[in-house]
Amino acid sequence: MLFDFNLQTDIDKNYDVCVVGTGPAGITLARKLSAAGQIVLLLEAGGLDYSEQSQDFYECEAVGHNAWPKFSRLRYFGGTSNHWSGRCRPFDSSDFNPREINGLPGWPIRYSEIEPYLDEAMEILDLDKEMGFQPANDDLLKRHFSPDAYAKSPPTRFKGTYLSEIESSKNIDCYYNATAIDMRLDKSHQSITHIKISNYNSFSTTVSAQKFILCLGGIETPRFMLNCNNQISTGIGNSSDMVGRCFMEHLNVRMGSFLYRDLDSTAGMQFYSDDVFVNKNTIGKSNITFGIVRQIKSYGRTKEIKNFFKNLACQMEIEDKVQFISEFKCPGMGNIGTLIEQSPNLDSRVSLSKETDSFGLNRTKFDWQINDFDRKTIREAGQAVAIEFAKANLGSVRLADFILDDTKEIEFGRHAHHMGTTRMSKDPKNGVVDTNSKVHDLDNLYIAGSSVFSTGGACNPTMPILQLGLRLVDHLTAT
Amino acid sequence: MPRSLHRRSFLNSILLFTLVPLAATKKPPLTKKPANDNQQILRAIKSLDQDFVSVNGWVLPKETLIKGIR
Repeated sequence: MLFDFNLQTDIDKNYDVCVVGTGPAGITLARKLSAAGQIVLLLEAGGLDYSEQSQDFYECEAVGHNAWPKFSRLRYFGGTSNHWSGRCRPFDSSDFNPREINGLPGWPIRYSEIEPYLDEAMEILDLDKEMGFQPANDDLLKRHFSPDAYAKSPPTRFKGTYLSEIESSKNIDCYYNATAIDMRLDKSHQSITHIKISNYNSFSTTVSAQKFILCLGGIETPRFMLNCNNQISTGIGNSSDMVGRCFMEHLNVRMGSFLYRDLDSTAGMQFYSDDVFVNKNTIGKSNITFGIVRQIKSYGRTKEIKNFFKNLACQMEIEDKVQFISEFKCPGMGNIGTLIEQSPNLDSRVSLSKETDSFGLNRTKFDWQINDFDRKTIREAGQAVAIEFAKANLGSVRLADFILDDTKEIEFGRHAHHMGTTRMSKDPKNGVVDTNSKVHDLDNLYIAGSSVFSTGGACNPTMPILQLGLRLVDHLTAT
Repeated sequence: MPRSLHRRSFLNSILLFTLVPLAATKKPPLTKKPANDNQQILRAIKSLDQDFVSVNGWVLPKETLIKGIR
């Protein structure tokens, strides 16, 4: 059933599970819990469509590198799936090998824990299981890199695909325009008893459930936990001061440009660093894409407007004059894009700003940092791929100055893969959730989404988000 | 006129016309290239491994610098 909390404010059921957030994780969990016979309350802070009023709650105080936190995610039903690109690539089993980076452990579980959920996740994302993940190009580089294998979802918009199912579901009550503004703990501070929600007309109420799952993404999940500071001043689930720390992005670095020797046979190649190269150099993984810009493409819900202005700038040959406003390339230009693994780093973090939103919640203070480990990954991957490109007689690469000179500022593009801020760990001192995605400090609070990633690999996060979410449902329904 | 004679007279006439006053052939005083320029050139070339260098960011085989592009 579907309710607008601006109009329908009576919520008197006692639910089995309360799922907060309707992005890919929240909707997947609600559907699977419902299929297992659980009575689910699903909460969405925004409406059914985009609105400035809702999106404004994503305004952040940014103090580190810019990751465009206001516009890279969407605050309405379906969440950021409303503008994702659809590229899917699962984690490698080696992503889950025991390791230590920057003094922090990697994943406390092995890949075999989430592998069984791959087919189910592919089905949810409208992917062809028979086709699997295919490389887009031949194995042209001799060493260090292999062709990257991935699949493209249509992309699945979770609102368009699953809203009607949720609307007609007997086991799911979905309330939109219902912002979670607080969590209340029992006397012993061991469990959540209820969540306080508010609509845009300043009406608030509390809802109760046996279990609670936060699916708010890598920025809002820690922000919400830190804002729940009425009973514990440092926030809920934050006894180790790990909530919000280790924010990771996939590094989208403008690595340079290139000249192809033979454009027709080699355009649009994607490579992925191999484990031997990564381990030998003690660096992160990397996807590197060599692409010729065929047509102007933009990202996000304003893409039509952006496309229009970019095309206009290219046609008028004034693109160099407007680069200071927006970095982009015109058709015919070569572009080396990357999706590089960032290491978990305690100093890269989400905390609370002194500024508040209209619910009185502190906004996010967003401090994205990269460190020497990440610079080394970018440098080693860039130099190695350029050398292999030349050795394979494909053409010549011109690397950006920051690849060759560590004193130069790195230019980052956007990916919107917000990870690591409630990371999974065996030991509570190194993370926020345990191996079952349960918050260490509490008995009945769970987290789903990329915020639980201990490390991020160099794969798009949507597929693993679903795999981990499906695994969590099996855990909840088995116990 | 034999062909060889014709060629010789042609070359002689060219040489005559291209003779320039001695003063004009004086080389300008040698000036030392500013150290900054040399440093800039050196900065632009960076060895990446045994076989490859980057020149102004372009990643090239070292032999290209020695032999030129074939």
